[in-house]
Amino acid sequence: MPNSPIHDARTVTGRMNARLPVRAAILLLSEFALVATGCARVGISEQRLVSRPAMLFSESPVLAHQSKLLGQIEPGSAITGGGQAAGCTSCR
Amino acid sequence: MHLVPVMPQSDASRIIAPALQEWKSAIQILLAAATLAAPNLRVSAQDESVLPTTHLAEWGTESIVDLNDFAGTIVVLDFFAYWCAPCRQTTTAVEKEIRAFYDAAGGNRHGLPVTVLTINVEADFPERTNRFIARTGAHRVLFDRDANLLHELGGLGLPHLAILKPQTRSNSNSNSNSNSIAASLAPFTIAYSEPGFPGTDRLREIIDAIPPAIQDPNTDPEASPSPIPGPVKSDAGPAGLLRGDTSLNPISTAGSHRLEADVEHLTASDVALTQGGLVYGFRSSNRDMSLNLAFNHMDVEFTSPDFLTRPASVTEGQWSVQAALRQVLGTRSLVLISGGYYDGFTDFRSAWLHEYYRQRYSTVGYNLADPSGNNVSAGFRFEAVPGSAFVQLNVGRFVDRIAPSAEFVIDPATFRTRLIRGSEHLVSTTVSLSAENVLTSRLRSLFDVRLTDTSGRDLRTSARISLNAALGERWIWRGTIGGTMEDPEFEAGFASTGIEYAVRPDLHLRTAVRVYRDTGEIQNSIPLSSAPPGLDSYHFGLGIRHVGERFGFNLFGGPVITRYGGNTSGTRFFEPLYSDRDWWLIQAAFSAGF
Repeated sequence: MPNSPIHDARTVTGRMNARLPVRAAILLLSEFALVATGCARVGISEQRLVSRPAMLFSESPVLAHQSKLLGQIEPGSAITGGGQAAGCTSCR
Repeated sequence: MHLVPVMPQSDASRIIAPALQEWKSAIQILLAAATLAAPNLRVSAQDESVLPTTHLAEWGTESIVDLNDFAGTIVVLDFFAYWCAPCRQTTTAVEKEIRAFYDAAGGNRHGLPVTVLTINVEADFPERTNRFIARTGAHRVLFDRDANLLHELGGLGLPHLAILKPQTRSNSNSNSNSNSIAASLAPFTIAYSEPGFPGTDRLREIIDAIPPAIQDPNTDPEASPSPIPGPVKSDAGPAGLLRGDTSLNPISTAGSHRLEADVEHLTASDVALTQGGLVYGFRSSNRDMSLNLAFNHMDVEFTSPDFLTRPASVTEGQWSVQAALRQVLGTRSLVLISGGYYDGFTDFRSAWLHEYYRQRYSTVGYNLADPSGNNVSAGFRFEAVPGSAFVQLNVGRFVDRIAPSAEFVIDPATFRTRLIRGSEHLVSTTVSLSAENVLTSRLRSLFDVRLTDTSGRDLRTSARISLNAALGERWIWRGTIGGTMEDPEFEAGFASTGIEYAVRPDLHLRTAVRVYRDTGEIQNSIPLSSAPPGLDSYHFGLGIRHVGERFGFNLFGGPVITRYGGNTSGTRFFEPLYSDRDWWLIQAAFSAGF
């Protein structure tokens, strides 16, 4: 529990060090995904199926697939930034 | 909430220093990855080059058209495919604002005739191409099998426009481009060849600057660029990236307005949440602007967890406004700017806890909370592969005034009781990187990674990978996996998958399944901790979606099951809030372009 008086600082440090490889793995995966982004190339004549509206990643609510309200009950999936993305701000 | 421990400086530095180093490393990796993803930039085909011999079939007939036939004229090539949504607006604008305009004027300002050729690159489903031609009014349509001519002009995406100008004595002598394609046709040079639609003003500027093929050697009309002719400036058409920005509503067309509305309702036995939004957007030749108004309404049945509180019905509302601007820069990038404000509780848990603290501590000085917040963000989007792939970097700053937690403690020095409130203000900095690409002829991908640094909390890392796969003409599969981590021990993961079936090209049925799990925000069994325990969430839904040229709607709904784990003393105290629930989710959205 963050800011707990019972919190053991040494335990916190140990957990953070254990989490570093996991976080580094996420960032390395990010880099790979971005590199792959620049490598793939599909000819125009082959883009028919992937150009349909339903195939797009759109911010429009007609085409989007993510619920905004689910972010209130799933603190790890909040799509907005700021305090809302930090989970339950009233919870300690 | 508990007292912040005062840690010895050495302990604090052992925690802070690695965190700062990790933050710096994360930023460096993100920037390096963005640089690596900037790819494969093609040499512009706008260099002076000789067009190769190209014979194209006249669409719908057996006859072959030789571009030599148009020697001495300015030729505008408008490449399209029926499935290219931005092509509809481009072709319509080119027909009306270029072909019809110059036909009526008898040519450009130098009297040079202008010919517009609309070139189809899609062989399948000719009846859909014919409908496209009928709706856009394309006058003369040719067929570029396998998009060979388009590729030779450097085109990688649609729409693509090229302007061929007649060879002159001056430009024929200077035509020494070492990269020029072997030519069998000499009448033309390429005056313009770019993806997207730069707007009819820009096209007219290029066309009107083209001199006749045979010129007086004592004059050089190209030395003094002429003003754009005609009394009316056309403001139709998107520029560059906006036509390929797949994150924007494909229903929207440039020089047009769009209106979108959506509403969601999530309800359980003791909680009812409603969210609604209204978006107005306008797209001009080189920018897109939008204004988003939203409201949230929550009805929560507060069940008292102890004898010091009493049941109550809590009703809270939140409204928010968000403005966004996308401005095109050059031909492959754009800048995004956004800002917003909200007033009210952001989630029902905060409202429930606020009611608890109000009832529990109102007599000892608990101040009612008035949550609000604002945000600003800026981003940069680069078109890695025209029309297909994008890389986007966003940086945002969020300031939140929250409903903080509170605790009644006894001062060990004086044995007096006092109320301690948590931090009321949070400041967050968010950096996010997104990359989208067409991986194969049937697979599109999106990757997001986000780092959030909120005051008083450790760094939060979120990542998500999404894939959309066309299984066939009518079937689409979607999959997403993602996760979030925040020290000291919060971890969350989610996965969703869905299938979509096209009853008609514009009418789809879809189904989706989603699972979510987190470790909870509580690490120790501490009495009176209001942080939630670990959560499992399951969601299934069915929906129907219609996307037409000007109008679209989406209906989706299904059950959501949430189950909390852990029976510690802390979680048991707030069981009414963190109880297992069976919800129903309903989503409805509507979009119109005009």
